[in-house]
Amino acid sequence: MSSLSLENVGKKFGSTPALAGVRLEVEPSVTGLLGPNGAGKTTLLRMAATVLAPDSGRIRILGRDPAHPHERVEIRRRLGYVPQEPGFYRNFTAFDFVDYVAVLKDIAERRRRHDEVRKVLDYVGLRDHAHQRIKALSGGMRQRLALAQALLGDPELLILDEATAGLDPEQRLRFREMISVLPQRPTVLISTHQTDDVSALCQRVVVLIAGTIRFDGTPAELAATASDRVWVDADRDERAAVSWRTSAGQFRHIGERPADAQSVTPTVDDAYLLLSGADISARSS
Amino acid sequence: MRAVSAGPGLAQLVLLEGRRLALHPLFLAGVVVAAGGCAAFLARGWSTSGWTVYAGFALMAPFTMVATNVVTLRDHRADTVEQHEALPMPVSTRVGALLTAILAPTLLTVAGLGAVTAYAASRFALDEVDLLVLASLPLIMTALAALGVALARWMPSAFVAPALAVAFYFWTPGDDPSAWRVLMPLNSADDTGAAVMRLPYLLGLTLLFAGAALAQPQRSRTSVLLALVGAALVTLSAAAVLT
Repeated sequence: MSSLSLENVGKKFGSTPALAGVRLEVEPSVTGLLGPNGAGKTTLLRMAATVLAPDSGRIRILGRDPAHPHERVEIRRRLGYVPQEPGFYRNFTAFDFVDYVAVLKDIAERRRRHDEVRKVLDYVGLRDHAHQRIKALSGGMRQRLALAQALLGDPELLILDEATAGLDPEQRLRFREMISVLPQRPTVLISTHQTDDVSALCQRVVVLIAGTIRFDGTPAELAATASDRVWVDADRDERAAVSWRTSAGQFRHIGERPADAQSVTPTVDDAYLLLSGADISARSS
Repeated sequence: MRAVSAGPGLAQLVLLEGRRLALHPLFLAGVVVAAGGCAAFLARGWSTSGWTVYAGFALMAPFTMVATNVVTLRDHRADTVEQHEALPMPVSTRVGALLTAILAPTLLTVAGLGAVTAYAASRFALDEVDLLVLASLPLIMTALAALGVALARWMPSAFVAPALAVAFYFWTPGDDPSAWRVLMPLNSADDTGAAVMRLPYLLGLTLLFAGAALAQPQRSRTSVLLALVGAALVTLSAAAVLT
């Protein structure tokens, strides 16, 4: 059974289409959602988190219909959600905030709830900061706190909207580690701009551009779509769609490879840039 | 999307919110003002001791109104509205829990008021009107606290409740004999009839404001029933006071 199923889902904000005819089945795994700003990633994740209803099409989450009030509550009991910009009660301690969320998650019995709160804070490495006020925590700690509240009750579906944004490299590595070794192995749907997070974490990647799915497969399959379309050279090649100088001092080019150029192994990043046609003229000198 | 009934976490949420309200700095500031006011008035040995106790405690209600308003606005301030929307407990249940949690500061007020009234009664003669006026204080507290929640639900701004609290203070001149002034929440009555009718009037205001708070973002049977019963009590008791 799919953890998340979208059938021909559409959504508009005013006259602007955010999603158009999206069909997607998410099986238990870590699935990355890649796409430029405004591609519809957050809209899709908000629907998966039951906070936004589609204008057209049908969604089923964990086998239930979120349009039905009682089924929606059942979904929410089994769901963990970290929005793009998680909010916090700054004057609460980390423990009190997660405890409050646990109450809202219907974990009613006090002792069990407190054990659960301690467990998730421990998991994200905030045990020693549990009784510190949130306003005193660093940005990385707050991001971990957001993950902690989403992990309450061992969710079957974990939705993370750009959860690695703003984290330093060490924190991102810790985050990857936390997601990859979640004890209950939930279905994880994570949106990101970081293609290396996708390569490192995700068994599957979906590329969303202008509200439609442009690619759905493994990270290796995504990288393979750029085969023979990536080459390096000592000088910048005007025929490339995108090119930039690498740390080795050579230019990496993406586009229709000239016959005389030597192709190199493409990465997920290369393939994503080709798909999105991003105008990143990173032609640094 | 229609809300569903309260889950098992409601009682726990009432306890958590009740504790937070009772320890809220604004409520505690009201306690300090009330204690200071009562001590100052009683020390002077005024003959109208019931009124002086009332004057001290009545000031707690606007403080509590702003406290419940600030607590209700927490999600707007912290930008957690959407985050918490993805949780099983519906917003109507959370608002209901907050309204129920008003009992925590109210019970503390009743305890303090009881102690001060007992002390005042041991020193001065409290008549029937004095006692009725003092009995209305917890209801003033619940009415304004519920108003604080309703304001936050309908007008999510940090400025509305404090402005109204100040306005209540200035709209409540004690020596104005107009009958309608008795209907101002912080005012009081100086005859037994009006003092009696202020009790259902204030209870009605509490229910009306609670119903209004629960009706945002969506009306429910409970919110409509509370608002209707509240409106009926307010109308009937106000009519009795004014005629």
